[in-house]
Amino acid sequence: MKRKVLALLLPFLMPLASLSAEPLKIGYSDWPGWVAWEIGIKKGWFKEEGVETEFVWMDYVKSMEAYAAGKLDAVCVTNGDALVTGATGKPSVAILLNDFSNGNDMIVAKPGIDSFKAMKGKTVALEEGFVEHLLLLKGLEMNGMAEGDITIKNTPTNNTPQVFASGEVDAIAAWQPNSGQALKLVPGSKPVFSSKDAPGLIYDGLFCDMASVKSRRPEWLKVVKVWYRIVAYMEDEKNLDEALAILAERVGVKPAEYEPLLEGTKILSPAAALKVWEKADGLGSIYGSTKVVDDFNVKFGVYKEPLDIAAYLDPTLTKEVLAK
Amino acid sequence: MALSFILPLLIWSIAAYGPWWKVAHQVILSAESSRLQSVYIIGDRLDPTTWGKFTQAIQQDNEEILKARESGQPIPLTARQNKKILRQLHSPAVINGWLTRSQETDDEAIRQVWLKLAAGELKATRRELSDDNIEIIEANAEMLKKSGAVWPTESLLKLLPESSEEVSRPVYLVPPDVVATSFWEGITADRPVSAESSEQGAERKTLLQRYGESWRTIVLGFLLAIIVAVPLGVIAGTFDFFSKLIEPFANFFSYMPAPAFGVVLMAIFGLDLGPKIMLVFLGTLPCAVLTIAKTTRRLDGSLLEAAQTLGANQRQLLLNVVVPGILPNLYNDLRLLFGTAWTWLVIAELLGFKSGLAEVIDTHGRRFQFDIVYPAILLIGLSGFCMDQILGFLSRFFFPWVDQPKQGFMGKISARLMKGMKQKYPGQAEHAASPSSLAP
Repeated sequence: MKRKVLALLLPFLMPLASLSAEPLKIGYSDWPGWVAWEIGIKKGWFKEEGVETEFVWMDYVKSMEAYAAGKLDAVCVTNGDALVTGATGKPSVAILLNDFSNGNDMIVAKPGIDSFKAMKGKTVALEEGFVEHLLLLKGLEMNGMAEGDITIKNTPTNNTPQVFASGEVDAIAAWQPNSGQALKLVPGSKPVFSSKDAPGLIYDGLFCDMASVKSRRPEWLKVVKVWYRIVAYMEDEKNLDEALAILAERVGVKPAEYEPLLEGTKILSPAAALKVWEKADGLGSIYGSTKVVDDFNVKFGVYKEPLDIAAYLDPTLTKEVLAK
Repeated sequence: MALSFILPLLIWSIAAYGPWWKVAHQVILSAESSRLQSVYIIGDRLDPTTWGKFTQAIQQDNEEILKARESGQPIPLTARQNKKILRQLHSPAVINGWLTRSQETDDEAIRQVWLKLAAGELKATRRELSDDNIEIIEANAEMLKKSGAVWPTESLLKLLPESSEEVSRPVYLVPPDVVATSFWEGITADRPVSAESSEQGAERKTLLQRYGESWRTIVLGFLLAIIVAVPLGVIAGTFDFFSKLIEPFANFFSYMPAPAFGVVLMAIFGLDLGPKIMLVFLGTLPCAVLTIAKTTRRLDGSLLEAAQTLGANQRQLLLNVVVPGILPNLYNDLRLLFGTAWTWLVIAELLGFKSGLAEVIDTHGRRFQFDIVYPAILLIGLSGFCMDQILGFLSRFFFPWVDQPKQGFMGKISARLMKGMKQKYPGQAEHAASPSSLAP
């Protein structure tokens, strides 16, 4: 009888016993640079490298909330949003950079609005305080416009295509595949500003819990290693069809629709990544870019005090993996 | 009762099938062009202007290719880009039975189809190709033959897009027959729907599996809520002191919308099942406490007096008089509360990892695939409705001594059943009709 009770209880006790070897929990969302993780997941490369990971597919902002709540060990975010999450929720440190946005973040305007300047007095739906907001502010700055020239409607990025299709707003700011959907839903609409106009403003990376990086460094190194396997795999045109099938399925579009997105997200090759990790001013370096974003965030009151940027960036893991 | 369902269905059908919708083009053969900002895929529905621009862009591309070829400086194109041009033939080839669905990227097989079509070895029977496209196929086959086993490095001609004419209803107005088919496919599929449609997610689940997840969430959340609410409600309804202690706060709490606590719940209970159950719990609890307390208070005072006269102490009063006395009304309360619990379900399931039917509604709603969204919504509605009918029906067996208005379809059935039961087991009803059998 006792044994029976124990046997019944065992499944409930198991999670407690295995608590020490919990997998690394990583939140990722629909940005093409992060969807690429799916290749490593589907091909079982994490197991091959000997690291237990659990990738959690979420909406972008929700993944940041989950990270800030301490439910994730790492989260895929842009360098700017890592600062925002750090200032308002929980700090993190980047151990690898996936890509920089090269056009996939865009402001899409409805037919009749042909340039960013023509957006004066119009309304834009975007997720306030996050990466697309930054893009809009950058656009305003580059076009010599003031913050009040455009009215913002706070909208979750995943809902922007529907909001745009409803005709309630004049434009939206979103990343692919959302922005592409918006373009398709509203015939005649076009992008008036995109991250291609400010390359290096938006870097996308894996931002981890600082304590976890310290205590489980060997495991995080393996995660970085898998990422560069994915990069090498994607660089080979032979693998393109298989890769597209995996990526497109994750976000729910057809491979043919996904292929153009690869252009707008510049995955960093090992050499390019090492260059970006060099300390320098300007958007060519992650340090310079993050500094620019930090200034922006303070200027526009996303948070009050400038942050210690160096604490958010840890190039050592990438360098260690790529040095081999 | 039937009429109340037929009328909305009628309105829906008239709206969907009425003659007022314009014509749209549904792509059945696509092409890609750098002149276009979107990639149109088979099944996309385009309005006539966009369709015009689309075909025009491809024609312009082809003209350019031909002009460049004539001038002796053909446009160079990588093997992959040429392969992609040829792949557009895949869909008609599948319909005509020349290729299988999985050969979408089998470039050698696709190439053979092009060559055979040009040579007249294959004849389109089910899906004919336009004359223009036959010409393009012949011209490209020429190029393919010239380059032999390797892929040509100059641009091949693109097939001109073809479309079937469809009624252009607004995307949210899905005709009833499409919803019905989709619903049926959803509940009968034994393996995940939609290798075809774009189901999201690493682990694909069938609609029924998701349905099961939804049930688990709602039942667990609801059970938890009533386990807490019933004792609280009953003592609040019986004793004045507890009423003053519990009810004001429950009343206050019931005004705070449960979804507002979503992020907090995620922070406390993680991302999996925890926050979902707790949201249903929080949404149901205050309302349940108040309703149950009210029901308890409505208990006939003379019963209590009688019991007290007979010398029942407070414990006996509660367990032997109050609880059995309110049971039928409590049952009805729970039935109603279960109905309200369903309203929290959709919000709850979107917390943390999305799950259940709400995930279907959310993800496919974003892609405007309303033919998949409506069945999921219908399923929730049907479940709640049927559950309520069944519980109402069962209450006649549980509490036969309570007068229930006999109306409606289920009512009639149950009345007839009851009659049959009484004939079979005479006396049973009378026996059960003494709930508060006080034996002091």
